[in-house]
Amino acid sequence: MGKIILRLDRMMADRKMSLNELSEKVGVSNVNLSKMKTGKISAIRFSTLEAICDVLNCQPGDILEYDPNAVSENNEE
Amino acid sequence: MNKNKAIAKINKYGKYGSIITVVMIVIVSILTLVTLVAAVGTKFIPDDLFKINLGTQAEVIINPSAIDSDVDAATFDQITYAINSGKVQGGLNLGAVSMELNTAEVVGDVVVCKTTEGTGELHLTNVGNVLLLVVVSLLLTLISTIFGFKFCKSIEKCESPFEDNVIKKMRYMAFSLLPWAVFSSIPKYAVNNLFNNNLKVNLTLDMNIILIVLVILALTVVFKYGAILQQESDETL
Repeated sequence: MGKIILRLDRMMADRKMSLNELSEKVGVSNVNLSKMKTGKISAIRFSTLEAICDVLNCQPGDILEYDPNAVSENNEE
Repeated sequence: MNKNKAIAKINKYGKYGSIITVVMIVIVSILTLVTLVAAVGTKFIPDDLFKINLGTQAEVIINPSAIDSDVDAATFDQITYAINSGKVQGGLNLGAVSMELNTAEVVGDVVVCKTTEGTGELHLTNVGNVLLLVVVSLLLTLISTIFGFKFCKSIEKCESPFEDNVIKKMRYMAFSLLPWAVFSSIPKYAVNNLFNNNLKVNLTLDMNIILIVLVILALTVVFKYGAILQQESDETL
């Protein structure tokens, strides 16, 4: 099974927005946003996704991407 | 109750548990040490240095009026005669001391049977053996208490009860109780062996302790599931 990859860093670069700025506008700590950028999370709430999409003015599909060839950490066992 | 208050409460209970178990560890350690020294000491003292004699007497009162059927004077005399002439054998056994019924006299309308003075001897070897059993028992208590202390300490320091460290300590504590399932009868045998020259311990499986261990192990599985949910929650943004 593939893996969902977060493309938050790409969208932030497109919008020329820093992590601290996005953190302030979304209301999520920059530590957690950093985890999100590096893919160290297993789930994301709709409310968080809505806030990010609102601030970055994008669609969820712009941030989330499915890679069928990548191996998910949940399926490594 | 919000999350922080709940955690603070859990930490507080952990702190109380830690204090109680530390006090228990100190007391049990001192007791173990003292008992061990005493047990070893008795092995170096000659057995015949001293022995304690225990003595006791007993009276058995036979009251014919307590029986529904009529007992006439002649039958009553016959009972008294039978006891006095040694035709009626009987006695009392109080574990350490056994007594024989040997005299009887009529007092009013009852027969009072008296026993000779029964004696029991307490040997130093038996005391030493019993002390060794007590040392084993105290050591098991000490081990369980130390694991209990570690569990309480992990509860005191935890940020959530669903942490691997807490679950691990809980499981260790459950396993530390297992020897008690086999050795829980030690205190009973320690007392029984006080007057016997041969140390005899029959080990039996205490199902109550097995049940307690199983309940704690079941709780660790529940907590393990909680830990997985906690991790999922922590990784959800």
